[in-house]
Amino acid sequence: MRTLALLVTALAAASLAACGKDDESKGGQKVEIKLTDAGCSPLHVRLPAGPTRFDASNDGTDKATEFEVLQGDRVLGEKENLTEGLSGGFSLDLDPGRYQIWCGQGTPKGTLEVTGKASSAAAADPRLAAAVRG
Amino acid sequence: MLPTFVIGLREGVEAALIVGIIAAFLRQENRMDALRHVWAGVGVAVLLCAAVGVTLHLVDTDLPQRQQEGLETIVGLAAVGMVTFMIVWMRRHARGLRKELERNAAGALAQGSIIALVAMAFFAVLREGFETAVFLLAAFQSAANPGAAGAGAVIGVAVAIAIGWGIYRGGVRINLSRFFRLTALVLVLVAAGLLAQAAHTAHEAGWLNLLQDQALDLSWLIVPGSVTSSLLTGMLGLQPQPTVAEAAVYLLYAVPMAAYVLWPQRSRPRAPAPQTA
Repeated sequence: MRTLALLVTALAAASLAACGKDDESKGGQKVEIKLTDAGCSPLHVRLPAGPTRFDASNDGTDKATEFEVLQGDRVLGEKENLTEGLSGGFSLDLDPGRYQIWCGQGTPKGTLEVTGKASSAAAADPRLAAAVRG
Repeated sequence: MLPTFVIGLREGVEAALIVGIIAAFLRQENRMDALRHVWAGVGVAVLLCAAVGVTLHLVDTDLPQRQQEGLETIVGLAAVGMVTFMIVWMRRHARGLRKELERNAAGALAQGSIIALVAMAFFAVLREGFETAVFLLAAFQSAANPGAAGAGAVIGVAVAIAIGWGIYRGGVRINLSRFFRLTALVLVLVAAGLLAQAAHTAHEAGWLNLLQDQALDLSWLIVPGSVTSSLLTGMLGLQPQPTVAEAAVYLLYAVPMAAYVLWPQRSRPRAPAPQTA
């Protein structure tokens, strides 16, 4: 039981540490996405590279309850369980390129076009850039 | 109310299913001592999840989704191993056991396996619990209609617990060899579903990026947002639009295991197998 408690504490600490990362990138740009019956709105987004906070909110649909940013088949960020009236999001440090946005099964995939140079933070630190790219 | 109910039910039923199966199995093995530990572990897990949920809410941060999906993947894979172990164990032991031997069979289950089962129940609750706690708080706090949304989520979780309890009671009532025959196939489907689900969460955790094309469309059956979808996804791991990776691991597990379970056992007096399980 003690090992379990330790493991859980470690996990909780890791989770909170992971949350800390979100705060750092709050200085960047914000994108607001609305969940609608037809999927994400807007469905096509174009923005400059850099730290980006995605805020998804559901103003009244039961067709879409999540928001994802993907690159090809990779999920870069995701927020689930957004029922009517709920909102939430995540932060990503976006490099230039083409990404997809998606509001869950049964809705169409949209596009996210990121323009410009790599973000300053990533450019200044190649290791960070590598980490972001995964 | 319905959307939050569906999510509460789906998140809850995944944990309730695993805990219910473990509890019924331990009860069948007459391990009441271990069963008490299961309930204690579940209680501790629920409190932990509530604490983490409230803490995240107070410091106004989101649950890190990627780590959450990673946790779900690891616990899901462990659960596949556990259910497989139970299927094999029951296949070996259930048949030909006479009534009075059933009770002695308890001795065959090694202490290590018992501890693993208790730990599994604990982690099964943690796996869905963080997300559920965060969702419940959010539903009460910021939904357009907090009363209805919160009530829906709570009722969803309550129904999930009732289903888990039903599995436990139902599993206890039938005798050991019937328990095996009736549930072995269901367990194969559950484990295959857990595996497919692990492929799904591994993708969302960023670990699995291969074979992500849509394999088939089951959304006519598993209508997203419906009560049946939450039960089919929560209990059998079926997605409305499974990817090639999800469908592949599902079939790779389900087909051989179903064959293993259904293959008639030769009826011969066999030498007592070394009971190491």
